[in-house]
Amino acid sequence: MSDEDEIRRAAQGDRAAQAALVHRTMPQVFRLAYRMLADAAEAEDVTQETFLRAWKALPTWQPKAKFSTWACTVAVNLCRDRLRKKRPYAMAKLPERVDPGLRPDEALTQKQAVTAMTDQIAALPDRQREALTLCALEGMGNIEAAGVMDVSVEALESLLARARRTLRKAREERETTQEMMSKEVTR
Amino acid sequence: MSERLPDERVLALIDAYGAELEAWPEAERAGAEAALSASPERFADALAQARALDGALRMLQDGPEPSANLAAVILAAAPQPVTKARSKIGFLPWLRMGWRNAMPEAVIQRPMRGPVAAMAASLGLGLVGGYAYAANQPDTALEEAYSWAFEAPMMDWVSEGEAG
Repeated sequence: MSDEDEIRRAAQGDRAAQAALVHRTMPQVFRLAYRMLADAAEAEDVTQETFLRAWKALPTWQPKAKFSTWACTVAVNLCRDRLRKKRPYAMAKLPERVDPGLRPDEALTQKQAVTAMTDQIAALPDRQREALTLCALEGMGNIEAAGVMDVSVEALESLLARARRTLRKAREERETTQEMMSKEVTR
Repeated sequence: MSERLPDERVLALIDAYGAELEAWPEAERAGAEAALSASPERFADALAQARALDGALRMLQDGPEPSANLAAVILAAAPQPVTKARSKIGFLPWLRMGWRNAMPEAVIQRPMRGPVAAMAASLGLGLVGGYAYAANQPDTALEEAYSWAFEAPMMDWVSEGEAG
């Protein structure tokens, strides 16, 4: 079933079409909101609000973009509204993926690296964090991500490049510090 | 063979999208590959640095899961199945039928004096005109909900050291 058919059926109350739309799109919307808001309850609120707007918009849906792109656009704007009201940005406790094959000391090092990376992403300016979340973490293409953020592709690339340079520099400094510390320990 | 991208553009792509070709804009991949194959040493350092960051970001790609009942809550608010509308007497049939047939019997039987009749006629015309006007207006709430998503206002607040 095409996106358009599914939306048309969902608008007419077809339960299977509605469930398919929700199960395909909801996880992505939730993850995006969670990464931006750093709060599971708020992310669920944004996800619900996104779909409430979707149900209202379905009867007059114009296929200008994929449904998932539209939903992410709505979610990003809802998150921006919430972030403007809620300062400072609280760091998200993102789930850590630690390689189960690592030794305990290696697993600890990896966990620390993940925490550090999470902190660094949280400290990025909001628009850089949005761009990085959409492209590097959610795997969205540049044209789609630019559409969601309502910026040109050039502006998106500029945001991504600045975000990555900041993260790279922070990571290199952290590794240099760790090297120095481990040399001190072994002396 | 695709036209090779300029070196500066390839370095800009690495800077923005990382070391994985799959993350680069599709339209530029072939040209970028041509450049990478022609002068690999030119891009080696940039690729190595980007690859290291890519690896760190990959550790965060498994996102959190929503609560088990979120989907059910969302689906509970979804549009209900469309049922056939009850047949209603529309405006034109009502007009053809004549207002007398639509009036309560008690009103018809009592003779209506001039001013009262004029008042009743004015009220009737006003109601009919208002209904006809409202029925032709688009549902602005739905249009607003849709256009909001596609024409969402640009946030013109700018973080420190950043420009859109």
